[in-house]
Amino acid sequence: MEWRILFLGPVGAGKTQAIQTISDIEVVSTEERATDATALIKENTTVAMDMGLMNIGDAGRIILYGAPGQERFDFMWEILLDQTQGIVILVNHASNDSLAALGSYITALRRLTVGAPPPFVVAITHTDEGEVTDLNEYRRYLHTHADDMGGSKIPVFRTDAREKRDIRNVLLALTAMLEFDERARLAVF
Amino acid sequence: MNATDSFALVNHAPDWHSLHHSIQTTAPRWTPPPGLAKLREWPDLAAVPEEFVAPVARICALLWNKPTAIHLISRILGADRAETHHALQMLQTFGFIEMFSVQGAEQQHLPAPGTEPEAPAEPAKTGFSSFIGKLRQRLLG
Repeated sequence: MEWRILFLGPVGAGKTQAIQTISDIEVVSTEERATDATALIKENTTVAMDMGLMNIGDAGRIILYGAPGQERFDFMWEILLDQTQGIVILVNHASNDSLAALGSYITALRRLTVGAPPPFVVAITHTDEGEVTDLNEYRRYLHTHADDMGGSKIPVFRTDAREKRDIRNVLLALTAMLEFDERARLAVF
Repeated sequence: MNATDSFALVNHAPDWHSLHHSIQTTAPRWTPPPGLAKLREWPDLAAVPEEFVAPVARICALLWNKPTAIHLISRILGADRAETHHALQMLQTFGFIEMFSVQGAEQQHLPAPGTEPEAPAEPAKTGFSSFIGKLRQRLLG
């Protein structure tokens, strides 16, 4: 079997790092020198996608895709979403507009997917910077703005994209959600 | 129930280690009550002790999918009953899940507690369940 997991999130949220942290291979990257406002955040940025791999022995593999952060590349989001089983939305807690960023991805999922979007997890990154992290602000936001997608039942985790355990936790949760989603679809309980 | 009520029912600074120790040393053997368990919200897995991350993630994912008869949860997960009950107790104590009884017609659709087989019953091994199992092992390895 082959699953594709898509990492979404704004520039600097840690998508490429998260994939690199868990991938069995060096991330295949399409980074280019940033020329717009992104250059204020980092030197290079993903323009098409990143790709990593997790091999599951003879059972198959997981392909990890990272989408570009800038909304002008959202045609890539649509292409990648179309082939995706599960999604990780990374949100940079240290940015001034982290809730707005989360909201823009919720809106994008509504706009770019037909029917319910694939199961997704919200990973809050850069929690060691700036103000003390209160995950409840994100849970409340989801309760109010994404009730049609599960609201406060959407998993929200504090995540350091450099820490294997944190990315592992995100993927464990997503794997379990995909498992029960599929078992419910096949009525296998 | 509105969001404020729901958030107020959850302990957002749970001391997992203390509760784990307390359950192990002082609590009597827990028997799953009749009724359903329902997810209020996921705990932050970054704060969950390592030995409980996998069972907590699977329980929450199951209940994220739908409320489930409490006494069937370990069987559906194909997991160790004592470990599952321990995780359920902690999740309930901290308010991440709620347990409630069902009445009347809904109750008739639930198997009675005590009628479930002892052995865990995962679905028959298929390519999908084998893939999921190996992926979980790979992540936990």
